[in-house]
Amino acid sequence: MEKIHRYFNLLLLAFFILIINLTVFSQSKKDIEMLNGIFDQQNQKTDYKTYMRGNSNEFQLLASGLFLFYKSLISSQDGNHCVFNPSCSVYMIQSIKKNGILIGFSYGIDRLMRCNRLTPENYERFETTNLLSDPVWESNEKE
Amino acid sequence: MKYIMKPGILWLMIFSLQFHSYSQNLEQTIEFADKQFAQQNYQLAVKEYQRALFFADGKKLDYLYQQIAHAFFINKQFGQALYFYELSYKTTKNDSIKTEIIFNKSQCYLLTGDYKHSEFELMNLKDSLSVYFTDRRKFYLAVSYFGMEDFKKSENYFLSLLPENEKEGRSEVYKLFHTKKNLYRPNPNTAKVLSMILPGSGQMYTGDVNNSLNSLLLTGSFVMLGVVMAQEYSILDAILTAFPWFTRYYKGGYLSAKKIAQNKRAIRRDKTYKKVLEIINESKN
Amino acid sequence: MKKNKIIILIGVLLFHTQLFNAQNLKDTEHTKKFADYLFKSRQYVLASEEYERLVFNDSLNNQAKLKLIQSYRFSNNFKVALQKFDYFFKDSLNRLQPDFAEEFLKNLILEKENEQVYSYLEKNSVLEEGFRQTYQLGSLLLKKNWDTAFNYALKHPVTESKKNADLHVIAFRSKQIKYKKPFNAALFSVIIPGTGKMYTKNWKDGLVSLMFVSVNAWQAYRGFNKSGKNSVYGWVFAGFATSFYIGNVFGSYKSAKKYNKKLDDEIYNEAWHLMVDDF
Repeated sequence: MEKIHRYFNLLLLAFFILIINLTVFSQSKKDIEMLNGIFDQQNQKTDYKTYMRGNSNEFQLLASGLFLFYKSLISSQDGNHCVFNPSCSVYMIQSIKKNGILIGFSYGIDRLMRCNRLTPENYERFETTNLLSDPVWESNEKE
Repeated sequence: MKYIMKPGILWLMIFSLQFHSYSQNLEQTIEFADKQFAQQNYQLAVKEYQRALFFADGKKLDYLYQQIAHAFFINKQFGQALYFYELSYKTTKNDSIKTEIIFNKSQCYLLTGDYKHSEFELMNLKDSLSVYFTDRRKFYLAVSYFGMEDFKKSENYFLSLLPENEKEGRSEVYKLFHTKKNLYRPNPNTAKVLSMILPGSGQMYTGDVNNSLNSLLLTGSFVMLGVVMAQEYSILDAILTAFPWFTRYYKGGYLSAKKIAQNKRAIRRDKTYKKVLEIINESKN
Repeated sequence: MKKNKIIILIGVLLFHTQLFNAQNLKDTEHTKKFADYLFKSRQYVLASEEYERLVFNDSLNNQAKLKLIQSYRFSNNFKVALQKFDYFFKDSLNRLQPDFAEEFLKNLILEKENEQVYSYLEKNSVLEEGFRQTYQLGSLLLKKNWDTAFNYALKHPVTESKKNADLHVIAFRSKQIKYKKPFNAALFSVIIPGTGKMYTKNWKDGLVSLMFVSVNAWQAYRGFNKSGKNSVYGWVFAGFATSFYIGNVFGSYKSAKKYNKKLDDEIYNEAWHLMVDDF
């Protein structure tokens, strides 16, 4: 009787150790799982290929192609110089798509001439990026 | 009389029970909130915990604060979670809850990239912890130091998590930390200097062939333009036309070489970190 | 037998008192307390849910309705707040008492329904005259109807309230705005590049444009001067110069439009802050 009792005690002890171990390990597994992704690198690349779609004529298609060429081969090699958001090249292509090739291009050129830090008082500023806000302008916009 | 009375009492009791089943006291409110929490209905849970807090009169404050903090944590509102963890820490008298909360706060900091604060919290823990909490602390410190780029300390803490007899795992972790490629390459400054000497070479060093050729061709073409202008027209014309563009893309080139190297190094570090965690994870099995 | 009955009765009574002692945290009184706490601690979204329950329990509780609508307004749900007005006071909307009417108008203004603000004030007969005039003048200014606002201000003299006086000042100032003509700006830039922008008080932009056009034109001139009509150099810079020249003409036109919009917006913003800041 005594022996059985002792065995039973041992068994109980073993059982508890097993349970404790299981919970402990499952907890640290949870930790590992939770902290597994904290050094993940996110790539935030803008896909400029979307501008190739929705062109209404050949001139716009040409402009979009030039834009894509500029963005992927030239602008990519450049520290960010433009003081605006959207940048001058994006402004140009959006302006062309909104106002047509001639007028849109002219507004884009005008934007290039304004791309300096001489007149920050004319624009709102983004706090986080320190860029000036100058969204594209439609020629038939009222007021 | 006897026959009327008995059902009367029964009806009374049933009626009153029904009446009371609509009402909610403090315990029931907390229970309801707990249930909502378990069903991942966190916004409602937070509101009900707040109701309980408002009427609790100082009872169970630590538990309520902690649950609210958990809900915010799950919703990735780490600032708010930290605030309520702090309140819970201040109100509780239970040491093991205090320890648990410190780990929770450390998690908040680690997930928001504030490794320094995470280390600071873990340093606040008492030295006399159970084996379980000591191991957990080591693990958290190892991660914090990895984030702070203090790889020596990080390695030591990771190694201390593996028992002496697991020689294979230990040597693997050692190897991961002592292979330069895993943590220190590509070196951003090397990439920058290389690109300063020859545009594109820094990008090549990081293994980014596309950007390397792109940078070389672009700066090269402006050099060519300058040379042609100087020959055809004058040196003044060359300086006026080609030079500003050359400097723009020359500078852009070596800065982007540095950035590419930093990015690639971060990716390698992340890979190394995940491998180490895998080894730790396997040793727990 | 009687003893037994008494014992049972006492038991039932005890059972009841036990239950009655336990507080019901969701009854009207507690809900109101908690809702007010949430409202005071600016947790308006949560507060609105509690007030919804209060109103549901007691559909005649006008105070709770007002608080409910205010919770929606403070949590920027102006649309929902206006829907609540429709729901609660569908038939009596034009006879709303002053505090409710004011709340209704506040939500309309925040939702930028200025047309409706004006017409509602025509319909509601309970409101006092001074209040009505202040809000009507405000709504006209917020519609950027400078002329109508000016005439309204002339017709209705200043009342005792400071808000009304300030709105009068703004209405008179709006009449004195001196706009720049976009066409003139473009014309100036056609004659001398950059002057159109200077006309709209963009001195620095004007100078930069002038510099862009003249430097490129000068370069083109040098190219043509050196190697005649076949100069690649000349044609490239001539192209740049014309692009900048035309771009500047359009830019000047736009600059004038922006200048006018800025003047309008200044007046509008002043009126907006005057109306909305004490909501």
